[in-house]
Amino acid sequence: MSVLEWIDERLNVGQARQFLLKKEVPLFYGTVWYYLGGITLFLFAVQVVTGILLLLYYQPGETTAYESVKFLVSKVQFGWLVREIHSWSANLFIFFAFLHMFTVYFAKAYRKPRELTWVSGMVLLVLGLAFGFSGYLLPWNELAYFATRVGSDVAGSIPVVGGFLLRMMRAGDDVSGATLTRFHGIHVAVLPAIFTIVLGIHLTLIQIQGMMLLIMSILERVAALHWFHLDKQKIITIYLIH
Amino acid sequence: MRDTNSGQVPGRRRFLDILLGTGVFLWLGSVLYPVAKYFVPPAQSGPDVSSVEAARVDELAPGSFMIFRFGRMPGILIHLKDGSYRALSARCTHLDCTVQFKSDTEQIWCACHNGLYDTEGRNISGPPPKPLERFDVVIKGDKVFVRKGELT
Repeated sequence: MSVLEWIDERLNVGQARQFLLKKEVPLFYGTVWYYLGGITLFLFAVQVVTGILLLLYYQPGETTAYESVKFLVSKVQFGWLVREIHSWSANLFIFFAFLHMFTVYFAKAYRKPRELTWVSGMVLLVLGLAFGFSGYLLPWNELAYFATRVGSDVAGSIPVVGGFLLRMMRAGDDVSGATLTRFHGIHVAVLPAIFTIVLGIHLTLIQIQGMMLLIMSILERVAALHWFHLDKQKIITIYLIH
Repeated sequence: MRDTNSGQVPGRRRFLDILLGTGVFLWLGSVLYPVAKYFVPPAQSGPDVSSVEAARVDELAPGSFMIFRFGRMPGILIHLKDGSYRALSARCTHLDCTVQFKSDTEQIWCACHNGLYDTEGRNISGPPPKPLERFDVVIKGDKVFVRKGELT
């Protein structure tokens, strides 16, 4: 207790503690639709931890990238596990980010006053996809190489600016060691930095505004009132809300 | 309301506490154990490199040689007078000194104990017990690549 007091005297954390202790959440927050953002956040944390672990053995570079991944999964203890978790969690992250987005969309939770939360969320989604695209090249195998070639070709087909974008992405005219170096830097430094800032904004907004009372609240009330016509009522309620 | 002093509830609560505590403990262990193991460097400290860009074509005049990094060990790339390239392990088979190429006698020489190899890597004089490992040389554009091959 004295440690807390010591800190409190200097930093005045009492208010923050009060906020954490007396945080208001909807009564029905137990519904699964409220979990999706949290699950996505959890998966992001898994990505950060496993990504840092992978950095301990991964060697970016034309001649070393592929070999170091092979070394990681075959020689390093539990290297295969860390890599697989990073890969699986990446896919699940995108999956739950989309589920989260659709839930917010269909609940119309993007409306005033939560427009900024929605916009920052969309930025996070795009950043998440950029994470996926840049990370896909790093194993430096045939699949990664051609996926990046095709992917950057798509960007290259944009009128007027396409050629410039293509060169910016590939760090040259073709996918090469320079592309790998660039994608690695983007994947482990540039994107995490931007993502962390936007995520901070996203989470702060949620804390400030609180959770939206989702359709579920109305459904539950309806369910309580009309036990016997639950299914019909549900259908009607959903119809009315939209 | 239940009587919390009846002995029934604390017993159950204790049981649940132990169950949860053990669960959390085991879960933490199952996460931290692989991570701790992961940090331990494997016996082999880095990946095997099967191919490396050793030099540019214009870098090496005929009759000269260079030492290059081949993964975790040194390699020697020799541009022979007949124009062909030869790549070998530069680690002397005697006591792991790094060898060099003598262009006057066209032999590979180890300075440590005067070991001699011919340009094929065969040990011909001095203490080396075994020949040097041969690598393949592939020229692509203006780059000389060396790789561990099956073709030797």
